[in-house]
Amino acid sequence: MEFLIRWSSWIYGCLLIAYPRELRRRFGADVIEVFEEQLCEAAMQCGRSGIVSLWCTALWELASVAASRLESTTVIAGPCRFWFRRQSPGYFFDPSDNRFQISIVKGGCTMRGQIPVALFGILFGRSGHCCWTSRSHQTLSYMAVDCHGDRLSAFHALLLAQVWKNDATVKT
Amino acid sequence: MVTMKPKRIPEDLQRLLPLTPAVFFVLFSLADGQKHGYAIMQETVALSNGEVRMGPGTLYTTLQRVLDLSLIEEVAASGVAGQNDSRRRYYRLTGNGKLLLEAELSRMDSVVRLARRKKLALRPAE
Repeated sequence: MEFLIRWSSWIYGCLLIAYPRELRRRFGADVIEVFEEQLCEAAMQCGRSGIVSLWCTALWELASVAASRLESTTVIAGPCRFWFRRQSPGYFFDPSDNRFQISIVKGGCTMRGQIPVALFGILFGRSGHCCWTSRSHQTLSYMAVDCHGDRLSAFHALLLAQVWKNDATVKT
Repeated sequence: MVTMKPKRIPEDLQRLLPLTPAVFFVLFSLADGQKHGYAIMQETVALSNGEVRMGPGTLYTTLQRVLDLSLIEEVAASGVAGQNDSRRRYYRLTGNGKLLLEAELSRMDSVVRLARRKKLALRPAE
């Protein structure tokens, strides 16, 4: 049983790749530890069937997280969404990481607002970059992250701000 | 009947109401003191009579969110009375977290009172 628990926890650790990078960095070890504790408890109470049942729950959770992360990509509006889908069908990124974003102070959710994002995608898309957009407090924010969930470099973000040329502020 | 009005909560926190079940149960389980992740998970099962079961992923995604919103804070393990497992991270409610939880409970209470007034089939908890 101990072997089963050890292997289960190792496999679960590998599957954590489905979660955002920031979460894995901050809480990865804790998530695995809690799963291990659950495994021990399940094994004590119900034996192997307990472990199987716990795995079903864990896999369901992992699948929902992966699905919701892919779902979040649909916030990219109009032509950009189409373009990104075509260019990089397997991309994902972390919308919860908002430490680096470009806020367009005098912006709106207009076609004009989408042009720089499209340009940005054309410039960097082939190397796997994409952007995430959201509306907050009447300003349109563009969060620039790459296909691995990492934030783009300040250079790339500033370049986007330059492309925009419209009261853009860069928050880091 | 005397009902207590919750204190005014900041506008940015008001946007979080109504709370998601995960956020609500994390805050609720921390209401009576600091706990580590696994204890929060067990308390959630107990408080919801087994109806809400969070996996470790959901738990830590929620913890990350409420930490970023400053609704809870991390406590050094050595500072937790009777719980000195230094490997674990303990969490406790902040002032804002308490305010938000009180606001949510008050909201739920008013919904239940409204339902009773409408004579819906609700029985007081035994």
